[in-house]
Amino acid sequence: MKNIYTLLILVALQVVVLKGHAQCKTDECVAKISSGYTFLKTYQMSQVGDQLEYSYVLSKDTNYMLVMCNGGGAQNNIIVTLYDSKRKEIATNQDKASGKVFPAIAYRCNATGIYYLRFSFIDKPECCVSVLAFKR
Amino acid sequence: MKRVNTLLIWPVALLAACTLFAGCSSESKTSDENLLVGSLDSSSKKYSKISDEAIGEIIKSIPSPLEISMLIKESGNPYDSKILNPENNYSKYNSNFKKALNLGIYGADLGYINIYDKSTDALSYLSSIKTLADELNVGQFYDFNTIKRLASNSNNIDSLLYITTTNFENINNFLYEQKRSDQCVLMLTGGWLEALHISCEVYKKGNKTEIKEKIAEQKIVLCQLMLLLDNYRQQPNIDFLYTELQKLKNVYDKIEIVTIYKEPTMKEVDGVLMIVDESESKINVTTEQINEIVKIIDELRSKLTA
Repeated sequence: MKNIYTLLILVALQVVVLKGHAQCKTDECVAKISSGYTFLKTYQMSQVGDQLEYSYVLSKDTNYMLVMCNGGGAQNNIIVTLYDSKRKEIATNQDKASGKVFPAIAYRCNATGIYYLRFSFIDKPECCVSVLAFKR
Repeated sequence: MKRVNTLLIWPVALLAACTLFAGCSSESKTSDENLLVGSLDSSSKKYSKISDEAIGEIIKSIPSPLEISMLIKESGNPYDSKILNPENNYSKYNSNFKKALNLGIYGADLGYINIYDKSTDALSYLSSIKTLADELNVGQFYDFNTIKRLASNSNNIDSLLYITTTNFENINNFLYEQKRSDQCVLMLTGGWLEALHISCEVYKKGNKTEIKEKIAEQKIVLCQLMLLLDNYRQQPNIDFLYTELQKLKNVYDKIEIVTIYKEPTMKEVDGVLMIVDESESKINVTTEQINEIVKIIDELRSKLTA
């Protein structure tokens, strides 16, 4: 009997751990990249908090696509804002007038430099993955 | 990954370090042997230390060598296997320093080969990569059988690029999590150096303006990599690499990148928000400066792949 309780506790602990580190499937998100783009990078956000930020060196004369995915079907609860190297906001996937959230953005870069991608969440999805792709 | 409210510090640290680097006086040039001997007394040197989390962030910011290979192909340059590190060189690498660095170099070579869809060469390089990855105990992240199957059919080029990119991404993540960031940084440095070497070789042949600009733009990535490498200079081999890269940086310091900012334009196309950056960047670089970079890269790569 004691062993059963121990087992139950271990299973419960594992569930908690797995929930805390839930990961969205990258493959499903990569499949949403538009044709012609080449996959570059994954941003796997297993612990979705208030905001998360990454940086990447984007190159001049290159088109980038960033696709946002969560565990479920809807993808309109992840907001990404792109900043340039001087922390000036370039764009966001949320239309400020209508509030509409786009699940993907395509960005034509004309100035090579370090850019920042800041992710924020509506209703905090269980997990979030974003994939970056490029084409010339 | 980081939480913005607690970790806004690292970009400031990065900026400060880059400023510090920009202000560095050029180090005196000694022989390689002296550099290695001198670096053994690392306790007397002061190296910048940045947090593990900041290292992880900078690692993620380093661009993929694939972008340069794609530019080279789309600029109309033919495939040239002679500019790559010969696939049988892997047996020469018997230190972890050389293994990690050349794993990155081979990774960039494989990306170049895949972009040009040369499956026979891809299979040869895959074998060398698998050996080095196994020797560094990261071979478990390399799905050799799947890659081999994909490489045997030219219709699978997108899948092949995806699998190889994610395999390298997984290796980097694993090394970082295992507190082996030094090896991760060496892999990234190797990949970057090889992409720059390929660009320099293409430049030597065609002298194309687009390639010249791409070489000059690497100033930004070099700054990031040196910031990372500076953290591990207590290791003689990394100190040697850093010192060699400093020679490169001395040339890059003379290159000016000016950006003129303009508001971007946006429109919705098929459910995707399309953003066009209206900013422009102008690069002030001379042919002499590019020639100097080509020469330094040529010498450095010969030492690292030997």
